[in-house]
Amino acid sequence: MLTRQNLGDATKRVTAKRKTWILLALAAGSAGNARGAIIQPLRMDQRRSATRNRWETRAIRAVADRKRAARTFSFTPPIGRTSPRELSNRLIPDGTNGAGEEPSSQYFVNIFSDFKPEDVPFRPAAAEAFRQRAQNFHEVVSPRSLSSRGHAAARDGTRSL
Amino acid sequence: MPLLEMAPAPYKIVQTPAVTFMLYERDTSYRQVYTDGRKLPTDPQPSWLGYSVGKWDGDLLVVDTIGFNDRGWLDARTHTHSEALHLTERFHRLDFGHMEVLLTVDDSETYTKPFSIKLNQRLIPDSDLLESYCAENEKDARHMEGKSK
Repeated sequence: MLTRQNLGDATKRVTAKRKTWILLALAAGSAGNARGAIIQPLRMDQRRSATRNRWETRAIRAVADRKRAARTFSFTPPIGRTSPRELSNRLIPDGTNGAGEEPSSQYFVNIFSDFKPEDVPFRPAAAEAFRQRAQNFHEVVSPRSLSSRGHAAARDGTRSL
Repeated sequence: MPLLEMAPAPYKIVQTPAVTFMLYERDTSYRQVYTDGRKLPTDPQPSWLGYSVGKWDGDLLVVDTIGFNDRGWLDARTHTHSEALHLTERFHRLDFGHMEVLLTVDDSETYTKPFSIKLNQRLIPDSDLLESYCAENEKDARHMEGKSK
């Protein structure tokens, strides 16, 4: 039964041990840093201690060369994002487009667009998997993004967003 | 991962001494390229965008990335890769408004030899990134410019 007397005793016990807990926490943190236990940033749910990542706390050894850098911020989309539909039709003869949107660069559509199909350096297993995936593409992939057909329908008002 | 740099959506590069951030409009995603001198991890947690470290080679920012999972595509054609993928990107800012990116794909489990492609990119000044998720409520298409619209 919780009484005022019991509550007071519990508070005293916790207060008496608080200094011990703080010392233990500090010791554990120092030991972890000393042996390099954390070697790369961890997901938040993996962080069990309150110690900072050692990459964040140590001195920076190498500083980026900024002598020739004109600006810090850049926006850089690809040139040639106005690729004609003929290009995408040529690069995707069977209409497979997993990205579900208008292509921009030829490499976005097909990273091997500089290669003849027979020259793509597939390993045999990868080639077979690619062939099967292309055959069954519309059955195994169901992108949630609107496809280019979806964009057009949305613009035409034939499909609601 | 290369899909992000080739996608018809901009990305922003934010450079600090110890880490360079790449903020992609597509899927509102980001990368952290560590330029503090650290090595690539020996056993990274597989992830969609991998683990990247960068260093300067003259005018070029050379970014090495490993630690990919094997679920991503290299392009819209669905060319895949394995967890052994080692992606090297060489960012070369030619002038104020143009940048060249040489991508080298080395995945010995999927392809018999490394191969490279060169991307030509240009600056979009006085703009900002839009929030974008691969889901319903798509809002990017109406802002696209060019002949494909």
